[in-house]
Amino acid sequence: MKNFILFFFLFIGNIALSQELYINTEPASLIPKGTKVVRLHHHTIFLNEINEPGSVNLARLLIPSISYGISKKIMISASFQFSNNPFNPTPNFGFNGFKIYSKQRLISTDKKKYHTRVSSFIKYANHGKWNLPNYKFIINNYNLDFQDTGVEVGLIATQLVNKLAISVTSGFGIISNTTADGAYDDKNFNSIHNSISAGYLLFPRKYKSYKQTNFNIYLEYLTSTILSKNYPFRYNKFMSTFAPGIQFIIMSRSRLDFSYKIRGNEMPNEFIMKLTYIIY
Amino acid sequence: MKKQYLFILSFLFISLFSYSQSFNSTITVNGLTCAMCSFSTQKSLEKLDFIKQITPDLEKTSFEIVFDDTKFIDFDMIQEKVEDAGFFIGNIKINFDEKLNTSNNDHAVYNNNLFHFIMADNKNSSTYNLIDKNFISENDFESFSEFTSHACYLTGSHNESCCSNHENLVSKKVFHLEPDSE
Repeated sequence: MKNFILFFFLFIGNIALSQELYINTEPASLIPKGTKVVRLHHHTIFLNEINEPGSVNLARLLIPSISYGISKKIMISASFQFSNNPFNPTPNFGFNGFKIYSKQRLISTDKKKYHTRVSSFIKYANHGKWNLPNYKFIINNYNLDFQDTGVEVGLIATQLVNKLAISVTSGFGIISNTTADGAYDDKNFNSIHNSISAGYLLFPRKYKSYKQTNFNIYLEYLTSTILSKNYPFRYNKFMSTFAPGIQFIIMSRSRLDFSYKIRGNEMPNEFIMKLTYIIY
Repeated sequence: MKKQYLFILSFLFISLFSYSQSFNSTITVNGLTCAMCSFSTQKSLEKLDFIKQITPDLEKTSFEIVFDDTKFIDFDMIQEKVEDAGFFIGNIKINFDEKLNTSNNDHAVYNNNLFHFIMADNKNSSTYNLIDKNFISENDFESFSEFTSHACYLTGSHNESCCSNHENLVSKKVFHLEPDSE
């Protein structure tokens, strides 16, 4: 893994432009005022033997979302999740929750091909139709983006220095263990999420037209840590995820992203596809 | 001798007429690093009705803008639209059809815009930089302020006490230019 990271940084060292349209995290930059962004995620979670509660070994999640730039300083976004229930052997697919998200610009400074952005965010998620207390898509893990219910606030800083774009996200979350049937599984617990993301534009080398397809590569490292002493035993206190990804930007207004999430603690890996379209 | 007079006369004639010459603009936007960023900025600028045509230079992160000559060109709105897209103006250059002949603190109307020329050290040019307060650094603004006592440089609008004989203009705004040294 270390060699791969080294290779990655050597490889991208002399590339002219950089990217910050991260696949697994949000950048600190906002979408333009009055712009709508529609997006469709498809997640495939490769449930493994330890975590597979039933006979189904793949969880499939389909998440449509829409974002809107209210002003140059505030954007909002809403997403809905449809998924199969991997704990039920009979085929099924349906609505499994939602997430609302808002990002606020705090600091924004620009020079030529250089910028610094700092934003704050707030997120509320309610997922759990399929999630009986002891069975989640990925047990021993929590994540407001596709399972669990709760609220998270945090800060994002994105910096572009010497053609290298790096983004750091830090969030504080309160995870609720209420499930859709009203059952509680122990207490709520506090958690922090930290992540670091890097992205680069590989092609085109000379940027001449909006019609050129851009090809970007990404590397993201995401961690979550439970702060509360009394947290449900089924969660790991620390979880790390390594997520390489590639991205195509087509006609300067559509994005096609692919990412593979490699999780620590023998937790299931995940393949993500995202299709994004900007409506001006 | 006569030929020389004719030359001077024709030059004066042309310079009077040059007040109705058109101008376009090159705006450089800071922080643009991706295709989507530039495209978003262009889409935001396209909402302005006084802009006729935008040609991007993606390598230089600049846009060549052709204006509608019949309208007042509000450069403050250009800045607002760029900032709505999440970026900042680096520089606005105004390109006239030909070299101007202006001296310090001259005011001139081109199409529907009143421009005030501040000639620090540079010679006349056909390309000028917009040097109003919101477009340049505080330091630069202070150093240009030394070359004019007109209040309009501070306020951005023309009135009787500052710039007379411009009553018939569509807008109260006056934009300030200095010759581009490049």
